Amino acid sequence: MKPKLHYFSVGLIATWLGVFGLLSFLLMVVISFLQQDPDHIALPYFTFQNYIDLLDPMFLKIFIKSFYVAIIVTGGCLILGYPFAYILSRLPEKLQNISLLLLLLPFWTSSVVRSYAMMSLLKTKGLLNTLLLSMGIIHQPLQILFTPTAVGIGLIYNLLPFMILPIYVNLERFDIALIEAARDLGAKWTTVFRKVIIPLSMPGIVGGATLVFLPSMTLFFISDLLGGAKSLLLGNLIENQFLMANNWPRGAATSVLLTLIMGAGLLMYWKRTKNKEAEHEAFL
Amino acid sequence: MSKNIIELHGISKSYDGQMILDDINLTVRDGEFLTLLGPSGCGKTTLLRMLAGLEKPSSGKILIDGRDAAGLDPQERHVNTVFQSYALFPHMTVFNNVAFGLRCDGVDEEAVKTRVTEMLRMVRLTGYENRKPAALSGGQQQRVAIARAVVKEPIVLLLDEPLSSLDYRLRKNMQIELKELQRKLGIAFVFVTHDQEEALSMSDTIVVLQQGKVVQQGTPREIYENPTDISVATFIGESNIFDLVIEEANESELKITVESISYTVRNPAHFKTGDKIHLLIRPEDTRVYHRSEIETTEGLFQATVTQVIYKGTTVDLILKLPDGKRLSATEFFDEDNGEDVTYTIGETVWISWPLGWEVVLPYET
Repeated sequence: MKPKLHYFSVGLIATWLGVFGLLSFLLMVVISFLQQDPDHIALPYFTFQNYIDLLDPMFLKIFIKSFYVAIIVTGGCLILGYPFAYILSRLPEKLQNISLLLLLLPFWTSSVVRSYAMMSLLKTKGLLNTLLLSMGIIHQPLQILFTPTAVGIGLIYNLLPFMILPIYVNLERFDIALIEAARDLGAKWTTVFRKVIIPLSMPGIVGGATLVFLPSMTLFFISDLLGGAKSLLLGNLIENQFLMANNWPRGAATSVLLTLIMGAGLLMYWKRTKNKEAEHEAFL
Repeated sequence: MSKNIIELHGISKSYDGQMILDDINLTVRDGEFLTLLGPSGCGKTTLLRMLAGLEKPSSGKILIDGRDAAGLDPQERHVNTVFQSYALFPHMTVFNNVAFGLRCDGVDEEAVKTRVTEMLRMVRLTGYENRKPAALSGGQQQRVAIARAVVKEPIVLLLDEPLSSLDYRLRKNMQIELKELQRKLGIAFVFVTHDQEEALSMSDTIVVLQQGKVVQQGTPREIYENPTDISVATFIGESNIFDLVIEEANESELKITVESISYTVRNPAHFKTGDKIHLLIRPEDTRVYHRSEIETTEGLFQATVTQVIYKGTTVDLILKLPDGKRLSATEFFDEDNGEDVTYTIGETVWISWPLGWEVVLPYET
């Protein structure tokens, strides 16, 4: 690439991220320290009140619940996504491309539309219940829609590709010789996975988890549609504060807190891998 | 002679209808340094991977230490491999890389520590235990790969072009080190390479593979001095080849004409009058004389020097015969002999070879 084009391309992305990423985040940080007012976005008085408000037990309950859902969803995506990504990365190249296309095909429709489709699948007289009833597996229709289970299913369905893709990218470059070497040295398949494949694909797993964890707390329309009115996640809370309560400073404080927690998580991972490189790691 | 540790009986392998290996029969004796030599794509790596258990033959039988290896997974064979790319685990320290195989076998930590430490001392990597492979030089990584395989005390060590990514000097050193290591360990090495010089200098036995077939097997000397096949002869070392027709043959002698000069040479393999043959003369067997060095030009043919390559210990000459054919010759400095090895481009010289040092092979297109 020519240097000029190079600078232009990097500059464009940097500007984009700077304006819509960093600048808007900084605005959020600033607003989160301002006093709220129902008639304005915020009043220009410095206060910690928005953060103190977050200690409200109501808020903490939602926060913990969201965290719990996010962990389940991330775990679910990992359990479903990792084997998928592994198999995908071992397919012949042609099949890989077709499979990737199939994986991404649903994304050609909006995820709101897909969530409605999910509703019709999960509802009491929906496809899933009809199928299970007619096969005699269940005798009473399952009440899935408008439960946390439905939210979980919807979130996993929507976020699965974000888990699969980073792991796939990582495993696709994986040096097969390492697996062969481990086998040659007497490792059973389980050992090969535990000691070689999983540790080396950790960056992919962390990447995928990062992409899944935050959205699973904040994709508010999924919990709106599939969880019914009673299901309130952090995303719904932030949405409510901005759009319903017109309480921007508090919404901003919630967002900032979330970002900080995610940042802290990543920092911890990064520190841990750095330490691990230095220390003499144990085998079992 | 020591016992056979690996036996291959009629091994064939094909992918998608393409024959990779064709009816390979081979034995590896205990303590032997055996080299599979051939150009890339000849199937030598596939053969090695079969011994490691990483590939299965389409047909044929492999016996390892007397046991049929067909049902044995890689981890059940007492065979370990040094991979071409080393395949060191990048997330583990040198110590843990070497310890990996022992820990897989459930060796207790105390013994692991002793054996790994001893092994690292043997490959002169003491003090590097806590380094990651990325922090080592190519030669050091190579030694870790060897240590990692050898620490399991295999009966055969398989080496897949282990020296190919090292620079010339390091490669030379590693050749000597490997050979020494093999002597010290007393186990059989099966070494895969496309480098004929490497094969000649390290092996007890060379197996020349071409297009999935064994074309010749023997000691380095047999392979070099008595190739049985023109493809072996041209692959191993340089040769000057004359395509000739035998004018007269009996059981012991052949009459041929090279560059209008008649010669009588040994009949090595029941050639008959009228047979087409290749006559091979190695460059180092090609004698080059100035007119002043000889009394008569009888039995010698003429050539023109077109290139002089000074190599330090030798002078390599590229010569042109009157009919345009190119010839190469290697002349050694021999001060006692007083032979003149100074040549100038364009000068006329006289060529011969010590009769009996030529190789006669059946003609192949």
